[in-house]
Amino acid sequence: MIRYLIRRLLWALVLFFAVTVVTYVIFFLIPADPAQRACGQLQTQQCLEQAHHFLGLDRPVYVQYGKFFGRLLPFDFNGLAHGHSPIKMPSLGISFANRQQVNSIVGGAAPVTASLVFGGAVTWLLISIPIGILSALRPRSLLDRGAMMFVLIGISAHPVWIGLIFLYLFAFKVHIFPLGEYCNMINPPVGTSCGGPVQWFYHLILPWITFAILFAALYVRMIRANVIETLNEDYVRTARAKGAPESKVMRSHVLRNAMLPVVTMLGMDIALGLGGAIFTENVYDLPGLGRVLRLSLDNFDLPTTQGIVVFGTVAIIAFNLIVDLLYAAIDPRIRLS
Amino acid sequence: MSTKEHDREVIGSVGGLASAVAVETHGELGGTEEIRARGYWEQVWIRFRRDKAAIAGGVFIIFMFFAAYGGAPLAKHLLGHGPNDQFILAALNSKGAPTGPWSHVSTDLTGTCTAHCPTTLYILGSDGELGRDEFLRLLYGAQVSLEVALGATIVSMCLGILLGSIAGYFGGWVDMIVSRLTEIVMAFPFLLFVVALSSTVGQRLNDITFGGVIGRGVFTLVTVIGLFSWFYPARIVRAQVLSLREKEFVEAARMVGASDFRIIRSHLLPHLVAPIIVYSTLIVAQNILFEAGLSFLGVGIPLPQASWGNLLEEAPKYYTAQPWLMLWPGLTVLLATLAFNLLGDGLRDSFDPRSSH
Repeated sequence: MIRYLIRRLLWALVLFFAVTVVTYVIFFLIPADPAQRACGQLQTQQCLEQAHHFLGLDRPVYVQYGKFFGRLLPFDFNGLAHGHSPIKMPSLGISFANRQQVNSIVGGAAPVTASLVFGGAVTWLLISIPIGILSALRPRSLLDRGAMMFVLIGISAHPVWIGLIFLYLFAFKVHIFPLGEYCNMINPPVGTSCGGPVQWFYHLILPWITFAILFAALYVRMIRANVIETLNEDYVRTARAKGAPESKVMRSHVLRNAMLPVVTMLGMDIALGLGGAIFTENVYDLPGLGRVLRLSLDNFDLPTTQGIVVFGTVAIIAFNLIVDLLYAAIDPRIRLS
Repeated sequence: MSTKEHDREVIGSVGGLASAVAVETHGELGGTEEIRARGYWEQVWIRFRRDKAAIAGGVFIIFMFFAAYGGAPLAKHLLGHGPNDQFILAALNSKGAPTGPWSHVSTDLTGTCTAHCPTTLYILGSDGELGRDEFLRLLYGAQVSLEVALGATIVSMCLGILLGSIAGYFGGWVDMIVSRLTEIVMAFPFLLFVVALSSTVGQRLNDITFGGVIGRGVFTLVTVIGLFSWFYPARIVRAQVLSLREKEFVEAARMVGASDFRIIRSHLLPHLVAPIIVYSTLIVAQNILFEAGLSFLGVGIPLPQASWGNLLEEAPKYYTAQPWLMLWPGLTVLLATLAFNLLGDGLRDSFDPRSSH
């Protein structure tokens, strides 16, 4: 287990390094001139020169990258030499648009995205597990056919479109749900009714459903196939032959085995969903990472864009690492292979 | 009994059985027809023919190609205006909203015409405040959508097949490098990178249209989506090649001195045709969604080039006055994606009947 842990940790570090190199190349070498972007409206010679120096564009590429990478690390070797604490906050830089710390921008947006993604994951499991199991138990029944229709539409309809139609029908025509806005669960802004867990939940119902439909469709198909496959296994026949009650056969023989791949997929798909959240956030105006990313693209705010990509990637790497370690703890076959 | 005699007897009896079956089944037809085993592709086709949903998907795809490349120029010719032509009178009707479906719009731009003005027909109305024809833009959007989806699929499949077969066939350090590369690309948040990349690289690649053959911005999306989605086909191909390369026919080919390239091309890849076709079809469906999504976010196809995604982006601005504008582009995306998904599912079941439940 220790060896596996070390191997996974080292691999996560390699990934982190690779991701930072690629992001750096994408953001600071490819655009025509980041200094122009940094100056924004103020395109004077003086500003450009200052920006060049400030951004370190007058230094060799590897020095630039080294500084960028150094800022991302939570250790401060300079500080150590001067007798300060060696631990520091990793810094994502300063926004071109409003001179705010990118850290605080990302810090404000991340909980929104996390609410959407994790709530969405719960939603798609709540939809797909019962439908998937029931349609596997009654193949070719009306329910099964309906479920297969749902799967086809769910994987073919665009989340953006589903969101727009939902907003139009359920928020504009019939006023059941709000017209998209995010309500902070823990620290509501003073003087508004939009805050607290109830409002948070109420405002996120439509986004959750929108976000969950694609994954719910994929999961219904996967769970249905798994359950059908498991029902044909020898050990299920054995259990039935031994006279085990059907409920027990389902619970401890069929579902336990059929759900294992679902658990594996769930970890990967939550990580994937972090990217997919960008569509839902933009439709419902949720100030999450995806919405901020799009705004930063419109403003040519390179550090913010880059900060969000780096943060998103690191979050996904960390999430995958945790999930992998959990599996290894549960299933000895994984850590020994 | 000697072995020779025994062989002859066995062959004789097999021949007798076959001819007996032939007489029974083809007796009415005259009995002269030779029995022929059904080939692999014939069996696939017979299974595919029975799948009505898949046939419908295939027919719709063909229809879509005709509509995009034949119908769009034809409609432009018949209606007398182009997808990017702006008519100020189409942008605002008497209620101050974009004109609705089936309206005749005055082509008079000077505002001097008072009676019997020349008009032009807007079948689905105007796309927004610029007064462009929604119907024509949907048709031209189909071109962009197909180009991006097919182009990106070809790029990612070529990369995936190349890397996957090399990794699977050679094994060792080649496999290690390719597999690690695959894992690195898989760890990237695909969508975040594609969004970021098309916004930075986009400005440089957008103008590559190969002399107007493909739309503006198509090249960027094809490159970006292709470069980030080759890993899945690579994994499929690698796994298949890994098991195939131990087979006797590969050993035999190697023994007679076939080169590695020849073995991969003529002995391994033909076995992978089925999964590659099925997977490509499903990937096309996914890429149609990607194109629409990226254009919706404003990092895909640049305006004024029409695409389903940027039509969808424009639509919510008029959700009170012209809610239909939100319906059309989403519906075309849904139908196109559905068609490719149905075709892909049908192909998978025809290639491998065991896969269907």
